[in-house]
Amino acid sequence: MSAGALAIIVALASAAQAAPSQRTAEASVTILRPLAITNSANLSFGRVQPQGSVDGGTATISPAPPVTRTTDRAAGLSGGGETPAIRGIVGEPTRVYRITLPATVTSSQGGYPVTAFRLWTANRGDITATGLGQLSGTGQDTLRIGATISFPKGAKQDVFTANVPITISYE
Amino acid sequence: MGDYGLRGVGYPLGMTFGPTMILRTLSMVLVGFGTGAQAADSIAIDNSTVPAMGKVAAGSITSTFTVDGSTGAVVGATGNAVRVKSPGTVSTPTITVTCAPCSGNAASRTMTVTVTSTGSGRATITSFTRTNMSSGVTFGGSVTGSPLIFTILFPSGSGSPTASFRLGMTVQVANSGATGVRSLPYQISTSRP
Repeated sequence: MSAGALAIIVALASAAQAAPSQRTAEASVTILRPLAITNSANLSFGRVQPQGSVDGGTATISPAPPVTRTTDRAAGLSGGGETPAIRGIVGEPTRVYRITLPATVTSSQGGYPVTAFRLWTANRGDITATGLGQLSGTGQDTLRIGATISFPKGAKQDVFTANVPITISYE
Repeated sequence: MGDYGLRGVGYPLGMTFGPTMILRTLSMVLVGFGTGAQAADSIAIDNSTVPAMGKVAAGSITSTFTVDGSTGAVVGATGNAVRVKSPGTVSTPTITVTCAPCSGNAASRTMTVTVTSTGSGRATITSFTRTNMSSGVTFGGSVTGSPLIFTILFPSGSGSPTASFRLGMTVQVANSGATGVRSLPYQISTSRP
């Protein structure tokens, strides 16, 4: 065999042993816009005159527009600016999000229990049962939170408000 | 040379080759080389599309998540991005490399493995970690890095020994940029002297 042919063979053999190997792979992640909340209005039951002689009077604000206030063993008076809590929510368009909130908060005036929260969103309507809202195609929604305040015996007339902390997260 | 199909060609060494013989011999060499290439070092990945980290709500600052190669657990490492209602663990890839042919001295049986992130954009892999290394071989070099470069010394003897490891990684998600599914490509390569 000629030296040239042998050199070729040796070169090819060397090349085969040193041949690098390579593979590609691909992990993935789905990135969403962060959810953000803006506060448009705090929950207010407006000016209410509880029947101080009895226990268990209530005032209820409905979440859906227009604002509706109902009372039981209490009188709803004017000039109190009653409104559900209203929050603006922005995030990833069309994504479903979950709203969580405490079962009870206390009113800023008198420390009376505020319960029975009801949720309404611009995109889905009443979502009290599920707590699931959905962002619009532009990534927006408006959440309105209604609730009921309960008055003990001896409660005085006042404008009753409450801070309702909420947490939202993507579903 | 025996690995390249020259046995039985019928031209004893020392015999003078004419042009035809040389061409035939070279043809055999090339065929043999093809056979040899099939037995070359190789890389196998049990799942080339993992880890799939699921949804992450971006943070206000650049954030990182670490995927544990052994357990598949994903934890937020830095920043304030949040994984969204996702399983606690994800699948991680198992990489198996084969040394073939694998003979000679230690240097020639030592494979260098390089794992490199090849992506760019809002989400990228910033670090790799090897875990669950197989036994019967000797791993050396870095455990974590980007690129992650380490060596595997295969045992002496014939055959095509394999070694395997699992891959964990750290993924960075920037606080701004396009949303949606982002691929995190990476490349595994091997070489031997």
